Amino acid sequence: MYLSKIIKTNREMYLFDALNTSFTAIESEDEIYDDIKYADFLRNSNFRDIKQPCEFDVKYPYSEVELKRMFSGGIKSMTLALTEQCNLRCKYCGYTPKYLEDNYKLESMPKEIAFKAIDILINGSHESELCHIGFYGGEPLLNLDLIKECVAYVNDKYPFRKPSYNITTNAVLLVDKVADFLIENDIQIIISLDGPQKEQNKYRVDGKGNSSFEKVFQNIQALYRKDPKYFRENVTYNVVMFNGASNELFEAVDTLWKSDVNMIDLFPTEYFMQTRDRSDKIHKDEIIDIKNYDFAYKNLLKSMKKYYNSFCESACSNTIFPGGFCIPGIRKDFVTTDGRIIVCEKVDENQEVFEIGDVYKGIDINKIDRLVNKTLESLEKCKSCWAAKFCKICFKDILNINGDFCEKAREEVERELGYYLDQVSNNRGVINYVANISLI
Amino acid sequence: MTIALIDTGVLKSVINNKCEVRHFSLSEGKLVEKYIEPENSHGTECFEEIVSNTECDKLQIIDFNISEQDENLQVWSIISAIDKSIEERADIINISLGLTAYSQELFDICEAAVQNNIVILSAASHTNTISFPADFKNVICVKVDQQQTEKIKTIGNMTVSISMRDLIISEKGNEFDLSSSSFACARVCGYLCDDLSNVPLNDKFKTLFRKYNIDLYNADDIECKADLKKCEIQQILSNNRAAVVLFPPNAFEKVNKDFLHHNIVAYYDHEQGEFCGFSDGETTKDFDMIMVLNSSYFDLEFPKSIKEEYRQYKIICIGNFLKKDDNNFLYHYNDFKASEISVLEKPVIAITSVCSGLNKSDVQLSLINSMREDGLSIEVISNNPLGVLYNNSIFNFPYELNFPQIVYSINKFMYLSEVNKDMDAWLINIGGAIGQINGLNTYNFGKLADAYFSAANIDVAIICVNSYIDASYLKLQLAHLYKHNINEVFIVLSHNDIDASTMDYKDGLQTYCIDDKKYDSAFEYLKKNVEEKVFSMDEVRKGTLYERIIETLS
Repeated sequence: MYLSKIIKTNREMYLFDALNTSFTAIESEDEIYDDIKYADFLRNSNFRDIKQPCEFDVKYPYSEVELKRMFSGGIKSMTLALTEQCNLRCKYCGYTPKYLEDNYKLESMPKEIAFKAIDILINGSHESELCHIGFYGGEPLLNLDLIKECVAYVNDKYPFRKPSYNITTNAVLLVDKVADFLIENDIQIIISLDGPQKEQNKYRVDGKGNSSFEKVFQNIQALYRKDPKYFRENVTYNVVMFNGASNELFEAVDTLWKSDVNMIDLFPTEYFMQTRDRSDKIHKDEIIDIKNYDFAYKNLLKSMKKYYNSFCESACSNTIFPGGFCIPGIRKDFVTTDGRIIVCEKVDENQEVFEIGDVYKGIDINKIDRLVNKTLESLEKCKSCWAAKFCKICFKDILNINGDFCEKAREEVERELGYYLDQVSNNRGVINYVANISLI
Repeated sequence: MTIALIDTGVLKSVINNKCEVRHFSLSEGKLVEKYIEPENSHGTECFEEIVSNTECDKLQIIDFNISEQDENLQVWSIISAIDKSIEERADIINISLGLTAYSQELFDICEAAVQNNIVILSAASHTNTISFPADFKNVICVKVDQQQTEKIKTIGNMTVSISMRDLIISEKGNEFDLSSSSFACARVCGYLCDDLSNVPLNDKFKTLFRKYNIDLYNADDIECKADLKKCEIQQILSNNRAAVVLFPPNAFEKVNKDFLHHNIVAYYDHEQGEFCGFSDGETTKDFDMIMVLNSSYFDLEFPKSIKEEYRQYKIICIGNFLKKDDNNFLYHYNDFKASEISVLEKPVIAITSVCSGLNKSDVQLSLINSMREDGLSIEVISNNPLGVLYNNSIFNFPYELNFPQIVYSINKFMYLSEVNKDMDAWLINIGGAIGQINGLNTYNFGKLADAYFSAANIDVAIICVNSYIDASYLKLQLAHLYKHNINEVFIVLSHNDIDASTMDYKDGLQTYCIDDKKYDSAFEYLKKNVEEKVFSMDEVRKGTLYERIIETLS
């Protein structure tokens, strides 16, 4: 079978054609595997002959000229690593090895670098609807003065354009006066919180091993009491599922005030795998009814949007660019403390291939080219993969693609696609909801 | 009671002696008393809706089957059927059909029917835009409102709605609403048979007014003022020298200084942070007011620092701004009230596009330049704030589009302009797009274009398309234009394509400029796959599009 897959769900069995993005319900696998029945199947349906060899043509969609034009007016976002320092020592954090290294000096971003990054963003975003500045760390609130200077710099130098701001924080320092400043300047807050006390305190601890939940939750409650409307509109949570998804965790998260929650899969660093609590019980086989949890159900339906779009598309082509790659230099630029521009904050910034420029010379088209070529090289195997169109692969994965990665990715697509075919595609209410999701 | 049912014909087999039915059908281009088996069930369903919703015992139906072989609806066949209904002394005419293009002849025949004490009921537009004759002031327009509890609810003076909850079907937990304004129209027709059959000698319209407050002709076009007031921004500009701040900043590069409003004297240099004179480029503060014009889709901050520095100047912000909105200085469609369409005499060129960011303004500016260079006096309508620079008539993009009022308003504005100005032609840049791109923005995409197409007879439509447009999708959009009786359509291939990652933005898609190689291949593809003449952006700049338009109009 080429670029196609039999999708089995609790209700039905489907044959999915990845090349034409179409599907049909089938009675049994015999319809496909039995040659005589398959011949009948082809005769009675308009389905492509999936036993004829075919593959995707994997191609990067933008030329150098187009990218250069985008860099001059279409940049959407710049996230600044204000400091590498952090007041917590979360055990699964990617920076932990640096924190443990005696000779490693944790850097902070000089304001000149921050200002130059802002210049690149605002001068390069006049054609873009989005103009976004993110404050990131380490823990960015350890460098609150620089945040204030950045906001003042924008107000002073670019009086007309008001970028949107966000800050990703552990909320330990999110005290009254800090909250006042964030509210006054419409800065959205993404709080890293792993759930209730037990979960949060397990790995999110300070350098001495002290728990963080008590302080964090006190600050969150105070922020909510200060301005509930602001809280509802501007606060979201990032929850690392270090033990996988579980009803207990979902229940706890669902009761948090405000429903926008990003559940983040654990990235198992070497350090963490060596030090993690051996008694951790990974809830691998637990059945979770997503519909019971508002935030999770909303996230699930959001993930259905790409399937909806794909099945609704009128024109199909065998030329694709798999995965959820953003346009490098446009959507996710991440600036390190020393002024390097990295393709996004999620990649390993020490890998040269992810560096796409610096704040002094701007985005470097040669480095973009290097990243694109490396990406295309790593996507070679996607040509024959039925799940390629829906795979979540992005730049952070390109150095780690192996059989295991692809298998997990395909399993996820199979699960999601099954859900779409069974629960979404034939339910007018849900399809309407999905159609109206705006992904801005 | 005699009901004229102007539709697709009533199937003889369903009549079953329910009432007396006479059949008229189209034969060799004429309406004759003859039964032709209907090919479409719409007329039969409307018939059943009428007879099952009246208790009137002396009911006669005149069945006008006006469907053509290709299922097209011709205005003349509706006119003939109404004419025949008058001759046959019908009491009510039921027209569960409609056209989006205005027809004076259709209006006149409806007027004649009303003068003969005939009530005309017609179904509201299925797409919530405009439909004639339903939206004429002498016709009762019928809609569905599933929420209402009243049997018949009157909305405004000429529109009624009913609920048809019996047509909501439940299947496996899903609800399917099978109601439509067509069936609602027929059902109301049944109801009115009962109301009007008992008062055969009375003025039917008085009965309807007393019972339902339906008040045809209580319209707002009685005022005969024919003067056209300038909008506030034009008035301000005639007495004040203005400096402008343009957004996006690169909009300045495209400004044609030759055609600037004479009182726009300076611009803001974003790099220097100072105002400079248009005439000499020197730093200046010799102006009376500052206008900030934002044509971007994003909201700009109104800068405190500028406000403080230029405290003594009046500052006006036009376009999208946070916490400041001076768009009330522009024209508003609501300012022009009317309830009938006036005939426009000047040729109309309309520019539209399949989504945002496809060089509509560039095409408009190029045509303005060519026309003015040729000494033509052009009236330009736009929703783009940058049009203020050239003294165009700028309408605030409305938060809400009310049909049919918006159509009458646009027509009224154009009529008053023609009466009051010495002008040769119209050039209209229609805000929004021609149709829906995704499911999120039905409001911004398409409805305003529909209003313009119905308000004016467009002589030439220019449709700007993205580079990778699919030919079959484009053909659908073109069919939409032809449906509005637009005879000549030119396609302009924009150098921009849709940024796929913004396909799910609710506030407008974003585009990016493609490279020349892709552009050339897209141009070839389009030329091969559509019959209409396709122009490249280069041809627009060189004046080839303009020449072709002039050729067409002359």
